[in-house]
Amino acid sequence: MPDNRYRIRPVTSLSEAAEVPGLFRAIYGDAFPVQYVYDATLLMAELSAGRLAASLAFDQAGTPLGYVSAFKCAPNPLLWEGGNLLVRPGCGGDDLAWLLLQHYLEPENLPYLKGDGIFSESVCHHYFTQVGCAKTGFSDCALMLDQMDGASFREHAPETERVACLLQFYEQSDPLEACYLPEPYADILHRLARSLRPRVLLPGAAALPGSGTTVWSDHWYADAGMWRVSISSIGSGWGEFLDELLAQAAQRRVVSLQLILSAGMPYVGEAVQLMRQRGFFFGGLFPRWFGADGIMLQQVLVKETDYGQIKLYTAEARELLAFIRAEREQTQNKGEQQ
Amino acid sequence: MSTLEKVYELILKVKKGAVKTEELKPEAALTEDLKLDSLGLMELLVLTEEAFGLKISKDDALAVKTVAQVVAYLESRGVA
Repeated sequence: MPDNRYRIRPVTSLSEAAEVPGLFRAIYGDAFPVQYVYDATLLMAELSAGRLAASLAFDQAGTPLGYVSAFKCAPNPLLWEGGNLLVRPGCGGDDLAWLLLQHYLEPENLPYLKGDGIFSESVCHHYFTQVGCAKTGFSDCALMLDQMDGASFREHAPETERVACLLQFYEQSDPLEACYLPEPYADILHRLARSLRPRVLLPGAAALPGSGTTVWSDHWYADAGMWRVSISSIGSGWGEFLDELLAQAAQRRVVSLQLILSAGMPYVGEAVQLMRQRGFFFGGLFPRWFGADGIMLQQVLVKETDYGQIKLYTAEARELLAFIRAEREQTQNKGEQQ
Repeated sequence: MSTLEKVYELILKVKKGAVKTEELKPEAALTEDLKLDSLGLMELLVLTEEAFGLKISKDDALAVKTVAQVVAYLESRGVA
């Protein structure tokens, strides 16, 4: 039965975009870390450039009550992240948030009808997004410990200083590239990939290149203390590259450092080995991150993780956390012994 | 413990002291009377699935609006 209480429609004009800042201010004040949500002109520029698809929910009187968007932040331009979902406090508290969550899954709401997939980085101090995604067919793929600053949540504030996020993925096209697996993570990666579309999984046991340059891109989220580095290929001197990266992370006072390696590299096993020697531990699979899948390893610097406050809905996600904890202890012990 | 009492217990857990036992009545609406917001409703869903060992579809979850409807739904799923 159609739901007539709300109208959810894409933002297409400056006057519609002008409704967005008020919604964000109602919840976050001026503290939301994405600037374009406070400036209708900037928001329209993101929409026009095809980097953002945004929708507003209105009540029958035409009052804006909610917002949801999908945006691009991965090296693969055919990948969308869904998020920035909000509902004006005290409005539509029953199921509007759920309706908005499902809205961005409808391909016609995205500028390109067919992408490689859409993902959510679902916060783990409550269940809302996780459950919504799980019940809509998303697969749990990676867990980023201590990714967000708890202080940035004015509403539904967490009980911890930092908040973990679960990467949940909905695959929309068949993967064409093989996924090479580092030996220590082969089993867990097989399990994580099981709920995605079929892909070719091969041992990633080739030797690291002795020449060439490492190709990478990054996002530094200063307010969150989170640095995410995507490595699409590795050249000579991988160990030195990692040492320099860790030195820079220390200088920046990074809390959550995440390195995503392209699993399209047959030498990913050796790359991971050098990372584990430097204290990196497993984070999970970032499907289609580069077109090819990505394998994420992480470090949590400065803070101790409060594992007891990480809420995970599915058995698969809890199993992933158990693996990550065990691997973290193992790599840290190794680092201490060296 | 009856299904109704178990559901009360779960609501108290979700509300963390923000609702009084005497406010819990079968006819109480989850959102209007017990003030469960979207996050609270989702937490109640998760705890209910865990407590009763079943999976609840999103359509079923959206359809129940009162405590009595939660109990009726659980009993329709064979929960004694």
